[in-house]
Amino acid sequence: MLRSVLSGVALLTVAAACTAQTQTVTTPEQLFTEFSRCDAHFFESLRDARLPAGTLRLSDYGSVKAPTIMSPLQEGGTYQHFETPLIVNGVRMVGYHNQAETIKNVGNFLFWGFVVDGSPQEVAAKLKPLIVDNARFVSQGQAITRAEIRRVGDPIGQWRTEGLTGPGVATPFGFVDRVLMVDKGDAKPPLAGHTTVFCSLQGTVTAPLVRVYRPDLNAHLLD
Amino acid sequence: MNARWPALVVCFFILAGCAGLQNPQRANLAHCSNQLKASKAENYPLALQEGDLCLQKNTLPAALQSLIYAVQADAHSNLKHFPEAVAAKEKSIQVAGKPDARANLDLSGMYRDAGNPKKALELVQYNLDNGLGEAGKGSGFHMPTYYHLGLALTDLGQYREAAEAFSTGLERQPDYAWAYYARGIAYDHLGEKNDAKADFTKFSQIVNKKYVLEEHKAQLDQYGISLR
Repeated sequence: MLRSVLSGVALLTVAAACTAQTQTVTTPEQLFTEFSRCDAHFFESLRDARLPAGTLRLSDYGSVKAPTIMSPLQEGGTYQHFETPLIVNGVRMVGYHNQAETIKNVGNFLFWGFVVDGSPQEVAAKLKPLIVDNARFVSQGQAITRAEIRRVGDPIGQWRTEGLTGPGVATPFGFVDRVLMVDKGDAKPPLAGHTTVFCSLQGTVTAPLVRVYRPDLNAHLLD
Repeated sequence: MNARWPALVVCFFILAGCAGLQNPQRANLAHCSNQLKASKAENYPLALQEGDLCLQKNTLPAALQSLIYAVQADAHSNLKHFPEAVAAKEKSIQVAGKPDARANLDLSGMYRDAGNPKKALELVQYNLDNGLGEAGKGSGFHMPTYYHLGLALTDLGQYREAAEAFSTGLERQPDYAWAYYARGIAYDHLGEKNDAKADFTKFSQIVNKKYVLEEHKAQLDQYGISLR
């Protein structure tokens, strides 16, 4: 009984990306490219990144660095406003958001990324050239997304680009959705009136996965 | 095999009942019921012998024939005749003629015992690919599927993925002690000793001690954990 689904499923491997040596990030554009992978590269690159003064305030989290926030679990503690905006390809990034939550019977959610000025379409157009695998970065309603899905048991760095869950649909148990999304910010401050450029992991997000993709977090924060 | 006992008991009574009808038939069916009784008594050599006679001397309906092969597979497995166990289980599934998620998981375990974790993984993936939950198609996946998935991945040396599979199973059934033990093993291989210790500790607190073997105790000892 051979696994049949693979023939119809295009697979992305992060392995290829992982083979690229992490080089010191010296420009905001390079940092954003690392961020756009939606994996540990962003946090690893922040370890030695040379960024404009007054932009991201960083803290050490284990062996990596990440923008300092109070707590990803605490409402009101998930945001850092940049004293000086980080300009990426002409996009003004004014803050960083890092949130984790569990929704009963739905799954675990991790969101992290930048809060920026401008409309989603305008921001997406400017950032698209910097985004890894940007051929799949496409409009979905008001948002612009690059989505992929992984089934528990698949190699940890392997993501499927077919059989996606789709917007507004809960990730099935035993799967994890990973989405890079440019969208209109929440109605509530501090995201209100801004556009968000977020990565997300959602669904069956377990500690072994968190440890690989979010080395800045306590892997057990959602246990 | 324990989960099959209710079915076995029912079959036993069916066979015993049939055996009351005709003498020649009774003699033949007696081998079938003897196989089940021997298996229940954990007399596996006798179960194999009676099972062979049952299969030779009777034309059984497919469902019963499948059950007899399944009991043969279980007996071989208990006697550590792993290739024979795999063959009998394959036959049981083939005779049954319809996909059975639990049978596939049992067969996956037998392939692992036989040293073929790749095939073991394929069987679990077959269930996942085809929506074959433990309680039937479309019923969703629970601890048994993720536990077998994790064990196959462990045997393949894919410890991160194995730990993830056990974690997923534990979301469904957080009191399954052996998933903590198995995840502890995966964490141990990953060098994540704190997580391994936490899992072995949890295992030691909730496991039914009568099933804990010396090898398990030795593993716990390495972390300074003793069974309470």
